[in-house]
Amino acid sequence: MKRITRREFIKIGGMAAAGMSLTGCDLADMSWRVFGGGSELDPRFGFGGDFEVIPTSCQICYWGCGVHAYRTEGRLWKLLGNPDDPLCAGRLCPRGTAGVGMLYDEDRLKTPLLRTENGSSQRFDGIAWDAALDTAAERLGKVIDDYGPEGVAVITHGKPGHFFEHLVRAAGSPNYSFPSFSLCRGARDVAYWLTYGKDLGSPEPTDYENAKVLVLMGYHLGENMHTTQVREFASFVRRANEGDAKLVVVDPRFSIAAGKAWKWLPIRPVTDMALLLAWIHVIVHEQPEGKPLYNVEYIEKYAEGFDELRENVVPYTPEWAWPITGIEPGEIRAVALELARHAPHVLVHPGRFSAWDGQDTQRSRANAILNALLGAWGHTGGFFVADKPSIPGYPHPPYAKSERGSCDSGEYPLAGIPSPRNIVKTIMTRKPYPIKALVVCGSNILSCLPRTQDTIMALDNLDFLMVVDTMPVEQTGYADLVLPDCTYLERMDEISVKNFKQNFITVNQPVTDPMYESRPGWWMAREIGHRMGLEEHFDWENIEEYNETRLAQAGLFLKDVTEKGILPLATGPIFIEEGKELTFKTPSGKIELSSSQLAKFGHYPVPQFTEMPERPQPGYFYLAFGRSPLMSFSRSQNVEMCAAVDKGDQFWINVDAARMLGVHDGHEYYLENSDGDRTPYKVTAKVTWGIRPDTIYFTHGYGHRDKRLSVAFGRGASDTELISDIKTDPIMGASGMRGNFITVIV
Amino acid sequence: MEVEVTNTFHAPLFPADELIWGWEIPMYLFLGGLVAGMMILSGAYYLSGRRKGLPFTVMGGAILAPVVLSIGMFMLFLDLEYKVHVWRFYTAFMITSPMSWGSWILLIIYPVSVLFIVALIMEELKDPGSVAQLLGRAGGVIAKRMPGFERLKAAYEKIKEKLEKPGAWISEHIRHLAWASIGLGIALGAYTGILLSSYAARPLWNSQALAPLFLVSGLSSAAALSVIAERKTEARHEMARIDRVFIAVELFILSLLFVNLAYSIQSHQWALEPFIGSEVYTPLFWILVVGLGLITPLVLELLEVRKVIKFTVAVPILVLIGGLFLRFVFVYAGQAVCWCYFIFR
Amino acid sequence: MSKRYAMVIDTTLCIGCKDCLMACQTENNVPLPFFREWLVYVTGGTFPNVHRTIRSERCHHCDRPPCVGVCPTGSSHVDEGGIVLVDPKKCTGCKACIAACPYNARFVHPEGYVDKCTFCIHRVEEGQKPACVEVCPTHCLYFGDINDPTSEVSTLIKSRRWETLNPEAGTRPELYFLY
Repeated sequence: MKRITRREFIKIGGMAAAGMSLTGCDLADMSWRVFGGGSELDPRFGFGGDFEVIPTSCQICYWGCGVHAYRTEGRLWKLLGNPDDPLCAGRLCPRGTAGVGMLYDEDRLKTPLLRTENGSSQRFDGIAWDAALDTAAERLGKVIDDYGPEGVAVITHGKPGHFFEHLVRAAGSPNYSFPSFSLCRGARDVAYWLTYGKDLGSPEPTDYENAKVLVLMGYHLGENMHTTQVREFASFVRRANEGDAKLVVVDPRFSIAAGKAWKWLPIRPVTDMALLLAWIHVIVHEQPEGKPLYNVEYIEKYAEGFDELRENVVPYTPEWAWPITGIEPGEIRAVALELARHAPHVLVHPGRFSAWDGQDTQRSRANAILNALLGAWGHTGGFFVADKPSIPGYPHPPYAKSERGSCDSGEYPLAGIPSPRNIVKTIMTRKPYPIKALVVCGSNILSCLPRTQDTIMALDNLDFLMVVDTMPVEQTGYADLVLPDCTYLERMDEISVKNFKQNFITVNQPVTDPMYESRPGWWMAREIGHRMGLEEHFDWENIEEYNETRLAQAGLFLKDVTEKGILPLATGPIFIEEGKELTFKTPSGKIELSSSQLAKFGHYPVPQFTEMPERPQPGYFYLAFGRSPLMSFSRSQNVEMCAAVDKGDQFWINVDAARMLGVHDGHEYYLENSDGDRTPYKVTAKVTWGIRPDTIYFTHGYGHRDKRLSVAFGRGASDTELISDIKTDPIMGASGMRGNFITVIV
Repeated sequence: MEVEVTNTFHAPLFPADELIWGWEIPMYLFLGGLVAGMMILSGAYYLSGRRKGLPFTVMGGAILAPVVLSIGMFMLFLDLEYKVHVWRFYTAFMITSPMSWGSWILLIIYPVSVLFIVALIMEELKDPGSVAQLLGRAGGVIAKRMPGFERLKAAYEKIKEKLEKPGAWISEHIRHLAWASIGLGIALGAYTGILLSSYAARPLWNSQALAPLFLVSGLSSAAALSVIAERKTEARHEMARIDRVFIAVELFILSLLFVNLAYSIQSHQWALEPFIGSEVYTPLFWILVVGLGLITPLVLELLEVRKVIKFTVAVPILVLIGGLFLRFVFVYAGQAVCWCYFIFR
Repeated sequence: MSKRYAMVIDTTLCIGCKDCLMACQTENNVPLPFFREWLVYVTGGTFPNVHRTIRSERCHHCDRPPCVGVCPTGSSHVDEGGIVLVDPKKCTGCKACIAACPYNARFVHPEGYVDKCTFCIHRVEEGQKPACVEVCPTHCLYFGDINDPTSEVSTLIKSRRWETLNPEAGTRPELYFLY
């Protein structure tokens, strides 16, 4: 078979939408319109009269809220929250509510596609499933034969990616990765694991519903829209309105949360480490009311390393932090005092996206230490501590141990898995060994990985790229084989075992049959696995059997879960106030204010302020990015309902800065970074007072280049395309993405 | 103040890029005003005994009125979004709705104007003026060209006797019909203005000056049409003289309207903006409507009367164009100034 | 006393997420690009002393609805509890009501009749709340009978500072915004 040397980007030809039939020129319809009146889709006139409610769970983001799907006449009518769900309590977020648009998006991938050469050009051929699965098994098998099992890698996120991870690991490869670790919350999770012996995970075990003081740092609650967190935030704001709580928002931008805050501290981007150290300094060293500000009994009982910490933070005064952060010492002290006054029922939120600037683990350590000094861990209003329910995983045979180890073994012993960036780097450099096949499922690597150009170049080195997706995002244009996944509304996946103050199991169930030729990911992985001789790792017939087997280990049945969509499990106390005994799975058995493990690997055991972050040159701005409640990653931009009203594709620029550059509100401009990488389209400017003059902000996930995404194409910009300067965290390899500066081409 | 709204439909429009009513409505308002003017002039000049002296104004106007009105109503029909329901206008009379009043007035105009036309024709045939010849020739053409004319004539002969009584009644009441024509003309001309002024949400329209303005503008347009169509010089001069009065009144009302708006409440002050700060409406209004449509004709007509310049048909054409664009500017600009857009201040 | 439905919107809790827009779209199958509701974000002040208000707006189902007054066919009418509705059977699409509304709450449905928020009357008749109220993740929307002194909406407007939009328009709107 001829080896394809140049990976051409192929535009998948428009396939006629086979979707719903229209009743446009129906004579009956017309006469009804003459004598009747009102749309037959309007609930006032009968639509939705007879409906069924199917409990399922949402998978647009990774929170996984429980959903009640209303089906009428075989068609999905609407999605509401499952009232029994501890996460959303019956109310979904906007993109969850708009999931109907995702199901009926006419731009969806419809059939498996295989890249074929036709003389000098390449194109995609629609092929049958059997042929597609045979090809996948054959090509993956060939790479394993030629390069060993480590030559296959998988980047996935969420469901059904887990089955592709399982496939690749069963084949003997340790090269599996998910973006959320090194590109998002990994640094924070490692930092908390180092400090408290427990990584925070998702959902984070926070209880700011009952907090007296909540500090948000680089965390835009309300725009970052996880239902549980917004619900608790709303309870918090209610109490704040009555004077019973205070909100502090540390953000270069006047976020929605900042609009409800007692104090908005418009910090210089990426200098939060200095602020945290200054707060620790104040709380440890200053006694404005004649007594220590930190929680003395709590520290004595639960923590160790306090003396080392105290000595370490001596230089980090608020006066020292002032020129670095731009926040006045009076404000810094005021917040610290407020936190101390109401401790331990306070929370300095650990944030979620923590891959900023190469000091990420240490910065999150500072956050964890600050919370420990206040005694927030284990108290109401701070963090709750829940033991994960013990539902064992599926009893599959152990994975074969890899002789060569994962592609970045040794480099980051404190990280559990390779980062997607390292997988891409290995593909590109072939060191320590070549990776020649890549499976991508539930992730858009051209959007989530910085240095998009690197990723595209790396893909050229692959013998086989298989992409499993629902939408024709740009990465599908580079693939050898594209498999159309069905949406979460058309399939059942593996059960989820979760905790948010309450342990429970949830699962999604199909609301409609898979549309077009799409199939669920578990079926694809199983079929490929069988064809590759991995039957013993896929010894179940279908997902129901898989879930039954898993649940049977805990004495439960699948119907217990599917009946209401949520199965609550026994949960012990989660707060000290409820009688919870705190234990810490650290080497010392206590909260490690000074981390012995960090010391062991040659890192600072107590956070230090090691380097002054770079500042942008004149005419350039810090590039800040975030979320919109209507957009999940780069997934929702094609959902017409959401795209029609979301203005996240606009970039925020300060009024003074705009005036200096000659930027006008509502006009469109190209954005360019300091390496000359420019956005492919112009982006609309939003000139506002609600952002620092040295910062530009826009929402992640836009800038789609693929014309097949008829709604998303051409709108906004991709932040990762502008990120060429990655600051890698030395402790766990996070790819820090807040180090770039951009300018506006006027 | 930075204001952001989610959909474009609710975003500020200036000039309006999402209109409620498009060109159909200003066209109808112009034609409606023209018809109103024609009906008033026709009835009034008939009553002052000028049927023979102003043949086009009296007879032509009366005959054209329902024809032009039908064109206007067709414009309204085109504007409807749910055309198959048009008959619903006539299954209800909503007393609070000027549009309902208007649709019924439009309906009533037809029988009244047809009766008035019949009465005028009967009188013209009995006491011929210059129109009688035209009618005779028209009748001849119809007799030759229309198929089945013989049958129609035969049928007419049969019922001729029965028609004598109603015919006499109509002739007797011709003066009442003329008054009805005037009354309905005023109602038609004024209701278009009242209709717009009933929308408190659109401050530019929400002025009592709109009804008299549109009425006088309609009269002016009708007079201008007469200037073009009348054959005799004295008739033309008569119409030009009266047109001047209408134009002067129109200018007077417009000035008062603007002064009123400028010293009225905030929303009315904002309503002046299309006339001062808009790239589209300001030049359109001042140059086309006021300059070319009102002041120029007024000045030229005065010069014509003093015999400084010869009569041209350009003057009444300018008046007509001015009248048309007056409607366009008010309808479009009025939609750009809406109460809910004031949050963007 | 007869029912009079009203909505109370607590702007201090609104995060501007547009969930209400999405819920209304799916519940009522409103055809894009039209929305029966919209959000207004008002940001004032200058950096760093900035403040923001967010309002979730829709038809106010006014007590003196000008849109009902100007309707020539009676299609626009007041239904149970003061809910203003359009009867598509009678609507001719003349758009007088759209011109009359000071809040721009109405739009022309692609099928030809005029459409707007109905306070989800089909849900209210079943004893449920409108879709937007039921979905709001911060629980900032309240709906109920303002003539009932014990209802949530009555209690809120008695205890909190409220404003209606453009009261000088004289329409007596029934959407109360808490600040």
